[in-house]
Amino acid sequence: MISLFLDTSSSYFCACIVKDQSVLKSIYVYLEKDMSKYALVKVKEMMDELNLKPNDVDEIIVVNGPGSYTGLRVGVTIAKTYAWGLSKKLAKISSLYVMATSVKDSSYSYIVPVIDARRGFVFAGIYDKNYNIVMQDSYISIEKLQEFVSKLDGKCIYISREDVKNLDTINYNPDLENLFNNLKIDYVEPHLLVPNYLKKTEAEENLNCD
Amino acid sequence: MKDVYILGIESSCDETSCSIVKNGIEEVSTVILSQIDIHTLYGGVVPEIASRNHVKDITFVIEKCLKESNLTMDDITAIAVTYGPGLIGSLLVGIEASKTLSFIYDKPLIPVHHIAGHIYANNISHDMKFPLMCLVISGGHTELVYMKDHYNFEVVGKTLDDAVGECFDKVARVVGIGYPGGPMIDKLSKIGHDSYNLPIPKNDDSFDFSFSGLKSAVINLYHNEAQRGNTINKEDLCTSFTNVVVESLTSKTIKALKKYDCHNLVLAGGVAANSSIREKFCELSKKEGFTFSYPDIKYCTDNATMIAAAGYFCYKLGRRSELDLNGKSSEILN
Repeated sequence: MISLFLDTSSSYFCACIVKDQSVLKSIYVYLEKDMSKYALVKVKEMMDELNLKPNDVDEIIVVNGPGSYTGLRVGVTIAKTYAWGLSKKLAKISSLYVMATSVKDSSYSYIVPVIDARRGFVFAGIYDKNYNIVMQDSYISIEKLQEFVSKLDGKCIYISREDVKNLDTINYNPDLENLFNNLKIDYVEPHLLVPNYLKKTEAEENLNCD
Repeated sequence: MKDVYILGIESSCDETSCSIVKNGIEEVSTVILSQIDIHTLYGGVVPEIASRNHVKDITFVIEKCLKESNLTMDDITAIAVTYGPGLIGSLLVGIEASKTLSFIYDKPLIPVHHIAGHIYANNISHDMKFPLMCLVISGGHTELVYMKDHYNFEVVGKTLDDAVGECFDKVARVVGIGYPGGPMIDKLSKIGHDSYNLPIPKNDDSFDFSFSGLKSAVINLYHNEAQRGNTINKEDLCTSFTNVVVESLTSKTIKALKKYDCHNLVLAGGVAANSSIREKFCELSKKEGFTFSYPDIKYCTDNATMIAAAGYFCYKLGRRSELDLNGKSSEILN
């Protein structure tokens, strides 16, 4: 079985082709504002190098959030259109879970992947060393997150792509082999896949306040 | 000659739409999912909400369009998509979906300018006659476009500030008759009398327009009257406002037709649905001796039928995009 993995949730584009749990080819590149321009180009390049045609892929696994709203829409739109168009299986996965699986050092009891959401807030989850959920992925203030973490019994590690104010984080580097060894597959009907923004739009929030 | 079926996708603002058009003129099927009820809650389009709805609905819309056409992707010659101008987050959903379709089915990808699409709404069901002048009037655009031939655009005049449709929406908001403003102003203007004195904007020899001054004039008038304790006659204000808009649009357009020695005029864009504008041009066309036509109302607002129609002529010219096609929030028509 051949899987295509896509993560467009940040300024970095991450993708790989996996055959029966082994990563055949992967890419991790900084695209910044050019995510929409190059994401599909990179997918095609990767598949061309492996001599794969679109129909050779059996399933698509896409990171659907949390993260950059525009980035998520790029990945989710590609994935759902691809899966719908060629009747492929489609699975979604959390960006924070993907980040958590990059930590293999079992001396840490808890892994806390964070994505800066500005204004003192982050998207964060807490996972144990076996990548089980301790705290669901949330949009949470840094203060609250720290409070939560301080109550945990055991060594914790914060992991992030960028520096987050007031948090001592280590830099995230994908470990796709380890991700696929610990993949919890969550299939979804292509039409129904949407990004997991974890946050309402400001307009919706303001409307609810009135 | 083999029939050419273009599958068009449009998502530049708050309509998710897919359409299949045969040979650039015959509509096979169209699906338009409008978000207007959602954005009405906010008094205008909220870009992030629009983008979120596009990504939720995009594959549903494509599937429904294909089903209704009784065609399969094998029958489709090429994929056409609006690449700009528009709301960038919204555009990107249609673009990514189109690029993916082009990639997985190995079909050519055709980039269509949104305004070219609006103009080509005039080519659905009947052929446009060239050379022509097109007055594009919508919520985002006010432009006079001269076309020598198919897919040959020369922008000869445009708004220097607000689009005319934007002005309709703002006036409707001030007067308190809701969003979108166009249809309601059109209705009320038919009942009222031209009793308010409003300035004709940019009343000069250029082909450019301006609507922000008119918008401010209406707002000031409304507040001044309110301060004096007078109630505004909404119907009359709508009539006076509409008359000024009609005068501005028609005088510039007639001047441009004469300058370019052009005898064919078409309207395009959502504001082309306004009955007073249509009636005035109709009257002038008889008096001045030019042909005049406008799209069916359903093709005036954003839709993918016009994108697929324009896409056909773009395709015929050999214009293609690769998978690195990106959205352009602002882009000159060329």
